[in-house]
Amino acid sequence: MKDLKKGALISFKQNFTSWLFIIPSIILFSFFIWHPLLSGIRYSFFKMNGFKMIEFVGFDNYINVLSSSDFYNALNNTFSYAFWSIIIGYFAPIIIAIFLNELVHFKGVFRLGVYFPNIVPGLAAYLMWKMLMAPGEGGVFNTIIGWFGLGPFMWIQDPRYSIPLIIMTMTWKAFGGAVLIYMASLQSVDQNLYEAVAIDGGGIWTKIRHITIPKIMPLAKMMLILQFINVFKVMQEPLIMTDGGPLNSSMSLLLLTYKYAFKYNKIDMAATVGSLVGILLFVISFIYMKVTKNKEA
Amino acid sequence: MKKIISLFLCITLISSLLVGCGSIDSENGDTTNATTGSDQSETKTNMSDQEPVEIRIGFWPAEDRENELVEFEEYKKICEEKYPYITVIPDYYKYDESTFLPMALAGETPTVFSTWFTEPKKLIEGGYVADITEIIQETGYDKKINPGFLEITSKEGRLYGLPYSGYGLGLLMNMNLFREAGLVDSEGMPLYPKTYDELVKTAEIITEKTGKAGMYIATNSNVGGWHFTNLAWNFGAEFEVLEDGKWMSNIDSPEVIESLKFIRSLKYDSNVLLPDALLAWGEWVQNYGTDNVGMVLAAVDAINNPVQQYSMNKDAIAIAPMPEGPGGQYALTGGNIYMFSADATPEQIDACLKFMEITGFSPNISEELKTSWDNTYSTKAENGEVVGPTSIPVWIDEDRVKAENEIIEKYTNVDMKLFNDYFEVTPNILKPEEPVFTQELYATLDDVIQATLASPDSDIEGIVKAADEKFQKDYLDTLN
Repeated sequence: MKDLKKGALISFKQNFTSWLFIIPSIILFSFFIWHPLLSGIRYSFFKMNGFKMIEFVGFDNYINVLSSSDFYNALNNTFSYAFWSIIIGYFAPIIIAIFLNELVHFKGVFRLGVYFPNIVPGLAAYLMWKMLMAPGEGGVFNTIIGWFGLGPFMWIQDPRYSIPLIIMTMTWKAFGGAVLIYMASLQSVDQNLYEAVAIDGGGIWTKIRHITIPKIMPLAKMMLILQFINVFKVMQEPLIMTDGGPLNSSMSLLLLTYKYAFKYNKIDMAATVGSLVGILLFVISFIYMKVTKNKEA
Repeated sequence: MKKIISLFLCITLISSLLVGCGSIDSENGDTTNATTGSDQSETKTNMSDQEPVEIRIGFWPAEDRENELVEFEEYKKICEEKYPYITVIPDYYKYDESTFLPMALAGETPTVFSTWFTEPKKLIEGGYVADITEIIQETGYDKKINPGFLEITSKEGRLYGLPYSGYGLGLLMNMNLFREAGLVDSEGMPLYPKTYDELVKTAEIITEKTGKAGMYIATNSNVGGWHFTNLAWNFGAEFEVLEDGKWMSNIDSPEVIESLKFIRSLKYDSNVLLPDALLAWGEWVQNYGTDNVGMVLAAVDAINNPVQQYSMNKDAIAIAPMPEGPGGQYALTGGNIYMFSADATPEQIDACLKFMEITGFSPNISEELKTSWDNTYSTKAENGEVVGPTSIPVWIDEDRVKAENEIIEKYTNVDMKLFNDYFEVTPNILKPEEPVFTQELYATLDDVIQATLASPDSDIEGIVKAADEKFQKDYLDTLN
């Protein structure tokens, strides 16, 4: 034990300069991430008045949240968001990245085109989609489909389609980033492998199946869990486009947290839902890691 | 040498980080570098026995309101000349429930700011606003403000804010559509509905003659619930009742069901509503301001929104009192209040009152005040805003109200006949909002309205029963 302490001290002394460089980051991290995170967990065990802790209430907030129908509705919706994001948004960047990688001409133009929606500020992008999908005969999409004798539809204002359509707009907005990551991975593939396939008489599908897909598989696995976590935290999009409606059909867990905190001034309930989201994501990530690790083994 | 350079770099990094964090003056909540006129105030201190006081005025006009900015700069100049110990710091803040709490927690609340009638309960309970009882008693303002309004900013006999405008919901009419539909008399005045049956007929005529929505029914972002409570009161509904000291939800009542059937019939029998399922505040301003809706529930304080945002012709705006229903005639009360940061010292609050007096907020009448009112209304008229319809008077003193109205009349730029009935009737039918969990009630009612309007055969009885149980269990039971 003594040796261990001594070892640690020596190691610290050796890395003193490195530690000094890390200090600003540690301060920033503790101030902006760890402190709010731990405060959130602490708040969830207290009765709060605004941001003031009034009294320790143990698990009362958790019991209140878990017995509220709002929570289960939001939980259900959030899983629905995650499901649709995998269906709509997970494969699109992979396909586009492979396609762009195979392009010979205008690669840069297409790459910019794909990434462009990422640059548009979220508020502007989602307001634009909201307007495009306005119900009634005057809505842009309804006008277009009206030329073919269809509609008018309610689009995001129809509780059955609000989540898939919000996911569609999120995918439009964000998939460019994922495309770039996949493309970076594809650029690193040894070209000799493709040439070898060509010599052996393999076509484009053989190349994709036996070289491209195995190459991006580890990255794709990581992107899957990252996408799941990101979509699980969806809030801005339903807030702007539907405010959780219609009939709470697009209310997500974090939008519920936002409403508890800022609309109803219930910081304790907001902190509790936030903590539960954290626990859920931790458990899901843990299971996913375990499962994929076992498969690799 | 390398180590020394590294050390130096690290120290620079850390110190820049700490400098970036800045310091907050706990006394008044100001960031130390926020003051631009501190040198001036020091000079002025020598001229006065008073301790220097800095006040941050949160109701300062926004950057794009050029004429008002000039006017407020003038007020600042007058204030600082008259009271050399006061330094006025412009600090534009538009109250927003989603930005207020973090700002208050960071000690960044302006010394005085403006908010709405719905907010005091939350702000007082949270300890975010100053108790101004003694200081207001000294000025005597508490005896001169309409007690009904003053009650909204009080808790357990203590006063926390000063109401400066009040209103009741009414029926806002788009005169372009009324004229097109032929719903005007020989003098060009609107033939507005006085009952709910007449409202249906009027909306039907508008839709039939103009092809536009006759009526606007909000459904989302708590605006739906807010408007609906007023409509349902007129059908005799009461949403929260106190029984043996316990709050009971009364959403599941024949009157609420009747009101819901009424709005469903507007959509499916009369076809006079917009096709959207999600309609809140911004949507009414847009649809009304662009001649797509004939009638909407709104108050007189909002009539400039469509003019400013959608360049609506101000002569196309008219407002009537809420129609009378089978359960009576009520107008939901709303309004605006000045409140003070919890960190404000009595000296700062006193300085704010002095500045507010210069801007025209005072129960007194003086030449100086008259000049200030004159400035305010002439600026509004120059901006092309509606001048003439005012809020329900906050001050009790009739002479004071009359003096301001005389100046308003000078700059009135709309035909007041389009507003007179509203002002005559509304002050007598005011009703405050439902007392507890008001915003939560509105959110619950949003869902009820959306579900009701979702189909022509919606099971209204089932919808209200479920909402009633949910509101009772999730909210009211926590009080009992």
